[in-house]
Amino acid sequence: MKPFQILIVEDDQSVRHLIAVTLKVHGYAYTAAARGSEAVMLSTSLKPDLVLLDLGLPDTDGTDVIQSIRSWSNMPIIVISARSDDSDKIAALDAGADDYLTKPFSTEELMARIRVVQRRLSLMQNGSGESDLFKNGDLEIDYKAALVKCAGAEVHLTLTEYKLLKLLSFHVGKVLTYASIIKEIWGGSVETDIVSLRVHMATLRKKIGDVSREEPLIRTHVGIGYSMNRY
Amino acid sequence: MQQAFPENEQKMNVLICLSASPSNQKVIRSAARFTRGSDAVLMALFVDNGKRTQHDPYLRKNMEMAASLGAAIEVVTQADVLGAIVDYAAEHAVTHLFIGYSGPAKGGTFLHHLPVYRLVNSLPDVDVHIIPGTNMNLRPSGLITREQGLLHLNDFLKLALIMTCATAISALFDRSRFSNSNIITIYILAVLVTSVTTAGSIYGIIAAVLYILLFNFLFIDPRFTLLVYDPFYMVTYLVSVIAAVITGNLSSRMKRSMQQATINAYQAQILLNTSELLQKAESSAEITRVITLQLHELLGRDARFFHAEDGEDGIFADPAFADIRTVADEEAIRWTFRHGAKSGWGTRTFPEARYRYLSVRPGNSSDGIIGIEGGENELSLFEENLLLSLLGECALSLESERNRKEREAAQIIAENERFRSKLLRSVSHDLRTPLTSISGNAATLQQHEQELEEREREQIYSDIYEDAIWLIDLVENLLSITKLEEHVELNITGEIVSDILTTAVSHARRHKSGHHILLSCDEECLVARMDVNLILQVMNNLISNAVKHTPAGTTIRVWDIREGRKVLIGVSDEGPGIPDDEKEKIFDLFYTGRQGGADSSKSLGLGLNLCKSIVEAHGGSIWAEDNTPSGSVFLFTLDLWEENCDEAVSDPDCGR
Repeated sequence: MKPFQILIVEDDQSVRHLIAVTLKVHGYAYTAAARGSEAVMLSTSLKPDLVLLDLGLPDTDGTDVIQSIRSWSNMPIIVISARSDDSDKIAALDAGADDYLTKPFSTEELMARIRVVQRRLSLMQNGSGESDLFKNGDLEIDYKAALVKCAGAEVHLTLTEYKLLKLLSFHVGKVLTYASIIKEIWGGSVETDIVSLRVHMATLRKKIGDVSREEPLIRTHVGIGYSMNRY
Repeated sequence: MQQAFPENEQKMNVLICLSASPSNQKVIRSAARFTRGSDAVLMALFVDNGKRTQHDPYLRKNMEMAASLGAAIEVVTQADVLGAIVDYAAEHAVTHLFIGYSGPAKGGTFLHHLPVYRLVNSLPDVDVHIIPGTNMNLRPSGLITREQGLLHLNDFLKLALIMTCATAISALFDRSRFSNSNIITIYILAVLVTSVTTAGSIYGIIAAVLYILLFNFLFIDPRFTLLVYDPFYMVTYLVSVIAAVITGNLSSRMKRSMQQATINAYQAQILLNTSELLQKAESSAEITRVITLQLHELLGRDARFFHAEDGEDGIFADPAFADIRTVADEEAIRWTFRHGAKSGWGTRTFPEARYRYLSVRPGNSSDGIIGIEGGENELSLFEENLLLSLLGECALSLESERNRKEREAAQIIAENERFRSKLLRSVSHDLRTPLTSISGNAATLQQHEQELEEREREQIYSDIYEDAIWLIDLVENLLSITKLEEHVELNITGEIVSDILTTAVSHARRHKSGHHILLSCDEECLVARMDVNLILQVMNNLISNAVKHTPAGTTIRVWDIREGRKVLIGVSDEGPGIPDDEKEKIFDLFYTGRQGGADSSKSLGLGLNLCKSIVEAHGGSIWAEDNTPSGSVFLFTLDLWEENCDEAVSDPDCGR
C-alpha cells in the first residue's frame, strides 16, 4: 500500500522544518514546497493524500492555491494561518479547505487534525461513504429512515436539527462555516440566522450527549463554524 | 495683474461702500478688479440711514453683485453714513476703501456735502478709492418713486379722514367763536398726524396744501372763496406750512428710526437666543439642529442642513429630502458644494430650484450647506440679513466645536502615546527573561546535549516550552490590546456562552498543567452579546491566571449562570486567594501584585487589566471575590442577547 503522502506548503524555513520533522517522527511521507506555484505543480504531479497549506505565501494568495487544486481534485487541504483575524480562515474554508490551524499551533494539534483526515479517507476507501447508514463513534444515522441513535438509544430531533446533523455527517472532518451551513439549511444568509443556528446547534449537541463527552462529536470553531470529528 | 499691490505683505482688507445707486456697480466692479488674484478680504457695507428702504431694488441688485464677487455683506443702521463707514473701517482694519462719488446730490443733506473729503481726513491709513459715477444724474426716479412714492389708496383715505376730522373740529371751534389761531393749530396737528401715520412725506405736503385751502375756504372771510383780504394770513400760511412740513418730516423720520430700532432689537434678541442655544449644543449635529430649527422658526420656511462629510451623494440618500428636491435642487446643491457660493431659489444660479442653498462659511462648503425653502415670497432684506447672521453664528459654533474635538483628540492621542510607550518599555523589558531562557537553553542543547544528564535535559525542554507558551499568551494579549486601542468597533454577535467556555476550557486543558479544570454550564441555553475573540481572550486569561497562581492538582471551576438579563461567568480556584486590599488593584495596568511564586516575576500586569477593558467595553463588570473554603473567584457579567433570547427560551428542547 502506498504510504500516506503529505504536501507541506510553507515559506518559513523553520516552521517547514518543524512540520517536516514532526511528520517524519510519526511515520508520514512528505514533500515540502515554499511557494504557491510550486505547490500547485507538486499537487498535480504527486497527487498527495493531504495538503498542509500556509495562507501567507510570498508569491500567491493561499486561497488561489486552494481554488486551483479544487478545480480538479477533492484532496483534503488543511490551511495554516498566522493571522488572528478570522476572515482569511473563513475565506479559505469557503474556497474549499477542510480544516485550519492557527499559528502558534502545537504539533499534537497538527497530528490530531491529520488523523481525522486519515480516518475519513479510509472510510471512503472502504466504500461505506455512500451507504444509507452512517456510523461515527456511538452515533448512528439511518438516512433512509431519518433515524438518529446515540449509544443505541433513539434521539428525537427537530427537522432543523436533523438537517444540521445530516449536513455535518456528509462533510465529516470538514469545517463548515456559518455562512455555508446557513446557505445549505435556510437558503439565506441573514445576520440573525447565525444566532438561531448556534441555538439549534447547542440543542443538537445536548441531545446527542456531546456536552458530557471528553472528545465531542461536533466541534465548535468559535467565530468560524462547526465540524464533525471522525472516530 | 493690473494693480500694484501694497509693498508690505500685510493682508488687504477691502471695503466696498454699497449704495442704492446704479453707479455703485462700477464701484463694486472696481474693487473686485483690484483684489483679483490676491487673497484680499472683501467686505461690503451698506449704511441704512432710513432714506433708502430695504425694498430698494437697486440696493438689492448691488448687494447681490457684491456677494457674488465674494464680499461679506454687512448692514449697519445709522443716520450718519460716513461716521458709520469710518467706524466700520477702523474696526475691521480696512486697508482699501472703495466709494462712489456722484457729485453734489440733489438731496442736499449734510452727508452729500463732498463727503469723501471727510472720509479721507478721518481715515489717514486707508487708501480711499473714489469711483466717479459715469451716469450720475441718470439715476431714474422712476423705479424708486414708483416704489416709494406710489400714492397708496390707503394713505389717501387716511389723509382724507384726518382732514375731515380736523375740519369738523375746526367747524365746532368756529361756531363756538374761538380764535382762528386754534383752528390753525388743529390743522397743523392734522398735518403732523398725516405725516406720522402715512408712508412718505408727500402726504404731509398734500395735507399742508389742503389745510391752507380748507382753512382759507371755510374759515377766512370772505368765506367759501379762496380770496384773502388780510395779508397777515399769507404770512401765517407760509409759516404754518413750513412748520407742518418740518415737524412732519421730523416725526416721520423719528417713526422710521423707531421701527428700525424695534427691528434691530428683535434681530439682536433672535441672535442672542440662537447663540445661547448654540452654546448649549454639545455636538455638531446639535448645532445644525438648533440652526435649522431657528431658521424655520424665524423665516417660516423649511430649513435643512447638509453635512459636507456626507458628500454630495450622502445628501441624496436622505429619503426625507428625496420627495422634495427637483433636478435643479440637485444641481444647485452640487454647485454650492463645489463653489461654496449660494445657489438655487432666488439666486442667479439654478433659480428654478425649490430651495436656496448657502454655504455655512462663505466660499467654503466644508462646514456644510444650508437649504432654505423658497416659495412665492422673496426674503426681505431683514430676513436676508438674519439668515446671513445666523449662518455666521453657525459657522462660528461649528468651528469652536471642531476645535474642541481636535483638542480632545490630541489629548487622547497624547494619552495613548504615553500608554503605548509605557507598554513598550515594560514589554521589551519583560520579554528579555523568557527570551534569554529560550535562546540560552537552546544553545546549551546544541553544544552540550551529550554532556547533560537526562533529568537536566528534561528540565531544559520544559523550560523552553513554558517560556514559549508565556510569549504566545503575551502576544495574544498584545493583539487584543491593539484591537481595543484602535477603537475598532466590537464585532458583537450572539454567542452561546457554553460554547465559549468549552473552547476556553479545552484550550487550557491542552497545556496539561496538572490542574483539574471543570466546566459546569447553566441548564438554560444562554446566548450573550459579545465579541467572541475578545471574550475568549478574557476566559483564557482568567483560566491561565488561576493555573499560574494555584498549585497543581487543585481544581479550577469554570461556570456560567443566568442573572436576570445578564449572564454571570466565573472562574473559581482553590489557591491561596487574594487579600481584600488587592482585590481591586489587581485589575490595574502593570500591577504585578504580591510576589508569590516564581512565575510572578514574569507577569506584566497586562492580563487582568485587559480583561477589565474588554468586559467594560461590552458594558459588563468584572471583579474578584473569595472562594469558600479557600481560593478566589473571578466573575464578570455580559448582557444576554435580547433579540433571540425569547426564541432560545421558548424552544422546548433547549435546556434539556
